[in-house]
Amino acid sequence: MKNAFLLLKANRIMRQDILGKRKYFFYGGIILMFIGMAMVFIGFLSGKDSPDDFGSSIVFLIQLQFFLIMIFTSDGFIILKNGIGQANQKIEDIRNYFFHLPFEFSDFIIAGLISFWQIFLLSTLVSGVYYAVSLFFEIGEKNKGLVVLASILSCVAYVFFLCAFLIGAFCKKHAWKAVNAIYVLSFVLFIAGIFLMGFFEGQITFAEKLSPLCSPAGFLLLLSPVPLSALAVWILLKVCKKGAWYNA
Amino acid sequence: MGEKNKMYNMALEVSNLSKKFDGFSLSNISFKIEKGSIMGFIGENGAGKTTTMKLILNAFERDGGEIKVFGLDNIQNEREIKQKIGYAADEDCLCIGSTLGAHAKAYAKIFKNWDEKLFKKYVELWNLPLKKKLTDFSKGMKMKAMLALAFARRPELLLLDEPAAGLDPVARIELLDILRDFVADGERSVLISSHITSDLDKAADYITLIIDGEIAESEPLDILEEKYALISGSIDDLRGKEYELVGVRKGEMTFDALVLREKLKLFPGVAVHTPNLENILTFSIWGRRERRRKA
Repeated sequence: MKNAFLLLKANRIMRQDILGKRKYFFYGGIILMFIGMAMVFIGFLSGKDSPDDFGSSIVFLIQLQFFLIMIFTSDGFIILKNGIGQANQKIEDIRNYFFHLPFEFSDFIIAGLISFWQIFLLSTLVSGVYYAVSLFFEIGEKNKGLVVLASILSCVAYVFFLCAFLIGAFCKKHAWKAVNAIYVLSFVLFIAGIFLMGFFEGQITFAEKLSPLCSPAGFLLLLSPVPLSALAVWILLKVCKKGAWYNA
Repeated sequence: MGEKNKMYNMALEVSNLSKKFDGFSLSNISFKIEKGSIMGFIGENGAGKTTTMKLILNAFERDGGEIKVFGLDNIQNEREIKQKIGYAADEDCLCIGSTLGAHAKAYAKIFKNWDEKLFKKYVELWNLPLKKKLTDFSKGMKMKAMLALAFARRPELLLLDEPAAGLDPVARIELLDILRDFVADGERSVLISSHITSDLDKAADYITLIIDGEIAESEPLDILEEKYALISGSIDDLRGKEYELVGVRKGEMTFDALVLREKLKLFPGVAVHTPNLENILTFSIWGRRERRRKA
């Protein structure tokens, strides 16, 4: 775990290198996120907002912002670029930067997981931004379609993300098999989530909407990365343990 | 672990290492580096020098063989070993969009033996800007930056892949002096690849010659120089005996050739010289090419 955090520190240099001007989106997003969160709670606590609006907005934004943040944040972006396996100079640069540093393959996997959850937590916070906007334009409960869209986006996002950090900078042959297995699992969960979302949408109460943990659909969609991540780590540490940094 | 390390006088042991790529393979290469020594690693471009170094760092998955660094398997003990290895290469191992200062800051956290004073010493010696982006560094400056970062890790084994590439003559001579000081305590070692064989003539204790992914020689430099002789003479002196040569370069009437000293008696009347490293490298490669062409 300690090594994984060290790796993330080492990754900060690469982050600056790769992100370039995109970092302004990242920092801008964080600032907006905190402003939005403050507005959410001020609005909710002052009683101007209905509890239902609050709940559905939270569910929506947790998922939508997850995707957006993943695109613009550093570690996810880097690992995603790696994972796609583009044979470009930038990928070579990433590998050249990392391979002689004192990290193992497993450190990268754990670091990938950590950065994944960092992003997930960030996205939860950013949900406030949407809520603030929804308060302003009086949307929210009327936009159930967006909730489903957001679910799709978030599913696609974390599938991409998992694939990315699994394949990682290393492109292990076995990792591809693991990724394929996880991709199928993710897809099954995604379809199940969408069905459940539609089935329960008309029936859920405020309590269920308020927290994704209380909504079966939200629960499934939002927490499915947990078993998937665990599965990914298990497979990779079993199959690829002590593996080289990448296959040539 | 301390006791275990004491038993090993070897900094690096590469045994029967093999790796296949499309169109190239490293075939069962073996060599050893003793603690306190500098090994020059020479060969043509694409002979397998960089691949070998990357295999030592577990950057590629090896197909066979074994690599031990200070008696420890390089895969089973990857983290521990990489803490002890300093690496600098001709290709960029830095994030060029970032600064040298940012690298030093990160390395200080990553490497247990990081020596900030030493880093600053090299930064001052080579006049390296800490806050300038590495994209704005010249090739030579980038190499100096990598060397400063490698030395400041206080490694026990230095892997230097073409460090002389892009360095000005002053920096090259300084580097040789630094390397000699580096190994002076008898505990630290260097594996250095270079095409500038005159540098290795001055600095290396051992030479490993790799040709087409195979080790042709791995000997102490003085033994290697004693093993061969450079001969020159008339083409007629070669008649029927060319196969006894390691390698030959022929003109219309004369020739220069590398031969094992023990076979000198087969060539009476030729002029005999002591070969330098460049002679051994080039004639070995020419000889192998010729034999491959005939086969």
